[in-house]
Amino acid sequence: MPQRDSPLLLETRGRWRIPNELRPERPMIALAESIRILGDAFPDARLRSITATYNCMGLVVASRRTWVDPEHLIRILREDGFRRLGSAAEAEPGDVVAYHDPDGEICHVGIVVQKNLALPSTPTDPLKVLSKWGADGEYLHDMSRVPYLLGVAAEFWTDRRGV
Amino acid sequence: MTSLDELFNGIESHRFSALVNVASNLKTFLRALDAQPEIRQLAVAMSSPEVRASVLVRVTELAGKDFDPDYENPWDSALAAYLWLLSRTDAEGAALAAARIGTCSRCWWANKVAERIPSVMAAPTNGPAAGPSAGATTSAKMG
Repeated sequence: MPQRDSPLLLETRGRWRIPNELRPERPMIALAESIRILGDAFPDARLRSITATYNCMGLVVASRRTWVDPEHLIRILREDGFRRLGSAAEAEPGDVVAYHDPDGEICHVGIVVQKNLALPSTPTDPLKVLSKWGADGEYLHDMSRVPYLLGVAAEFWTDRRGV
Repeated sequence: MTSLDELFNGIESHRFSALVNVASNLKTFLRALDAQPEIRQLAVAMSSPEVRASVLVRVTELAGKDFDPDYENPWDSALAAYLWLLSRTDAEGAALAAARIGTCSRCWWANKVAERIPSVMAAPTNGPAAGPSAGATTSAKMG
């Protein structure tokens, strides 16, 4: 069997070892094609970076270092002291947005970076999100403007604390 | 009517790879595969034993190709797609393909699909395919 790189030692604050896997970089020509295709499909999304070496979960919970399955998101957030918000309206920059697939399972995650101004005349996404689209690019995008395979924004979590 | 070679070329293209690599886990990747027209057409064509045999040959050819070892296998998505299709139609062929892919370095999705295929020794020699069913994707893990 082919040899694989060992996973990173990655833990929640609750000391749970987070399963993760290091993925090789994809060929540059493949990444370039991805930029072209997704750029055409999502002209309003701003590409920040592109690499296959981390996924959306790696961006949110592992500082862009590795791949983590989205199925682990809720456990990680809970063990790291996050709490679930009631709606997108309660989210603030720095909070986490989780996307559900058609089965209601988490398939994508991103970080809220901005609250969009609500204009009466035009329907506006409430939030601007930074998220990594699989092994393709990391994009700054309106919350609902993601490839359909990445599901719909459904859960909002925060670790904000006050006194 | 799209020829088999055209389907192969489409599935092995960078375009195809880009489209299915928006997935962050295996379940989403398999959904992405099933959404591609090339996969749907090839799935229909694979009702023919000759086409299934051609797909198995294609897996062997791709798995033996040289590539830059500094990067992921450029045919990873295609290998995963062929194996996924074989697993739904030809358990023995899928087991052989999975074994071949298991020797192939720097694959990602293809390895994850291969890990779900029963080994050659365990595969039935005839009868219904024993590959992962559509329902099995619900519990698919990243790896």
